[in-house]
Amino acid sequence: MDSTQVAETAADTTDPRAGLRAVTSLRALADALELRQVEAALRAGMTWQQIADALSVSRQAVHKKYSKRIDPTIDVPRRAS
Amino acid sequence: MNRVSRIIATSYDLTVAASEEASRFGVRDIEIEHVLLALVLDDGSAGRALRSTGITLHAARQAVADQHREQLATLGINAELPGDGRIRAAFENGHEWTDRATKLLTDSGSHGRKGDTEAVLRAALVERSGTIEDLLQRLGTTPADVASRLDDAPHAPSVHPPAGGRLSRTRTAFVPAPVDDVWAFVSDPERLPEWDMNLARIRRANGSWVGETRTEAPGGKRLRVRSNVVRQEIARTAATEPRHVTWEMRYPDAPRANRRRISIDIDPVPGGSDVTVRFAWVRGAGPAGLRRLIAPITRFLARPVVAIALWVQVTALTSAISRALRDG
Repeated sequence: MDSTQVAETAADTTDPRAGLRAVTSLRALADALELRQVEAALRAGMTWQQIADALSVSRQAVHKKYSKRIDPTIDVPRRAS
Repeated sequence: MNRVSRIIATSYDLTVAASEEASRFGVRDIEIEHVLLALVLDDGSAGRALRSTGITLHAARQAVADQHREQLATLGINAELPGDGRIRAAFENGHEWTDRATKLLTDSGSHGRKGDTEAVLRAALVERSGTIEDLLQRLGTTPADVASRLDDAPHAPSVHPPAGGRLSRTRTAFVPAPVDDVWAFVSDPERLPEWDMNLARIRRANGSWVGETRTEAPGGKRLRVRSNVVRQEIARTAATEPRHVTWEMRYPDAPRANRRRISIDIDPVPGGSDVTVRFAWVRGAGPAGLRRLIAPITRFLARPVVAIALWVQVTALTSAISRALRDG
């Protein structure tokens, strides 16, 4: 599927109930991918501030959401900024 | 069990199983589909009703994965949720309930409903997004069929009555594995650290088994453990293959301390096994000297804490056995 077709399919609103349910799957996918990227960033030694900057959110917001969700074996860097 | 304790117990049990099932998909939010997976594992009437339709945990997990994949495809996205299919223990991941999953719990305990897993399933059967209905259809059944099975189900009393005594607690969990697999797992001394979270490791010494108490939580956090209870002598004091095993752990460096006793009964049920775990503290000689005089008062005051501690211990054991046998 090329990008035009993707956009067309994604914008299909003929069955809104199914469309809304599909959006919940999209949200779950986005959350799962964000968690993986945050974990990868911490493993690579990035700080919470650097992750927050990349996600365009505050350091507090990203820390609150992910500090307890990440793999507990990750050695999280102490606040460096 | 009163209504409030039942609601707390239901929510704890479902949180553990649902968050572990969610972790297989790489997500930390407990959604209604993960509650459904947890209900498939329930040892009460909810789990029995779902399993009586032929639903297995494997099929239900597949239905959840298919539903997400197909819903994403309708948006033009060719992707699966990125989980690796491995379970991360509930205490290792910071899960949260989504609003609509929380609503199932609150609905199950409101308007005079019992707040047990059956009430949660009944709430799930009428949830309005259509997610559960679609999943049940993928699994060859309907909400109406499951509801009628709940209505018709006889109330089965537990085969193993709770053990007496203030220092013991009994719990049953459904495990989607045959009796022989459960037996092989729980009767093997070398596999004890996989389900008894109190044990870090075990080794053979002079014909018996010696264990080492866990001094570090799975996340690496140090636990406060008295040095005289680090070494444990472990004995299998009863074994009837493949249905019953009893383990006893004593602390040779603290001869007056209580011993731990874990008895496990395994019963075949449709789709797997019911695993009944009895956890007990077996009283040792108790404190010596002056502390012995005040021991009865201390025991009385500590009763509520001990009751909670026993519940936590036996729940941790059943959860760990269930988790290990449905991982992968």
